[in-house]
Amino acid sequence: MALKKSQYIFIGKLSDIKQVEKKIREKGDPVVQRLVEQHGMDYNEAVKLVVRFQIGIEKALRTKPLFPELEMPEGQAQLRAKAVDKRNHARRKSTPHKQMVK
Amino acid sequence: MSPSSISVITNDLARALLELHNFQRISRRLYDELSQSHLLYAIADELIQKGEYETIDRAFRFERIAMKAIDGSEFPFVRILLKSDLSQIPKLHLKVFVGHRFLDHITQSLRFNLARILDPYGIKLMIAGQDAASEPLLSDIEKKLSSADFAIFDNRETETKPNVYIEIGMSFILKLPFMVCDYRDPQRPDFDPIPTDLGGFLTLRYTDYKSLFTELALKLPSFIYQRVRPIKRLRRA
Repeated sequence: MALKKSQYIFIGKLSDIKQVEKKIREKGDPVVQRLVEQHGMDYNEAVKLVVRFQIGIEKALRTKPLFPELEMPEGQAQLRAKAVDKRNHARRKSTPHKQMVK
Repeated sequence: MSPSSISVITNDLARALLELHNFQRISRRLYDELSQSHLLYAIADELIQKGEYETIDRAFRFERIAMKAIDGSEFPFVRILLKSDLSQIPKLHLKVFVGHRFLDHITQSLRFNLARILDPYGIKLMIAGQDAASEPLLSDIEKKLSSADFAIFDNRETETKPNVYIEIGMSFILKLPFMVCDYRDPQRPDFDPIPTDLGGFLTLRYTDYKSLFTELALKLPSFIYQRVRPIKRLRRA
């Protein structure tokens, strides 16, 4: 199934990227630290990689619908809602009071 | 944890990344960049050491949890939890009916794993036949299916006791959204346990709990937003 234009994922707006990058530089990130200390990566490269990862994955998961095959078949929601209401209504109905015979 | 655990988690992360790439959720360029670097290994290492890794703006976090295989042994499992899902789904106060074969090894591991996957979203498990009521089991199942918001069925080892298919039929009549976990025995690759009448329903085909719960954890929020929440909204209206 072809995806709609809105479903394609781009890495993100430049302002978002800059904001996340600024926060990582200020507060630090454990994965950036590992990339630098254990894998000998340049600090600036590590920050940029983690920023792209965080923004890219977040947008990938946040975009809806994530799985178009899970979309509700047409009319299913109304049918289920009606079925549930009908049963609840039947359950709530009180039994008729017996009339006292004088 | 051993280096093998790190490589297991690195492979799981790589597989998740590949899924996102194949669904065109991340661009080819980003996929190549992330998969070719040491990034996944560094995240796996962090998950082994600390158990979780949260992004700087707290939009999502990775968590390492222990899950149970069918033989009762534990395996490391990584899940991604989105902040938006964790704030929205618990507000729905959902209840899920779970239907499966009542065998000790299935009951123990399946319920354990489901509880771990559903817990962050506040979804309550409902299982038939647990109350010591005198009413027939089928009535209890009908009552629980009626009050559930959705259902999950597992057809593992149900060839000789196909009760789960009766429950699937009841859910269909009650218009209850459901997922079928369709176990495929690797020893019998040609054996298709699903009755043909049930073709076309949402099935999660699996050969082990790792593959099942990876797919379930990834698809559950979408399933709730697209199939379960619209019904809840209509009922409230």
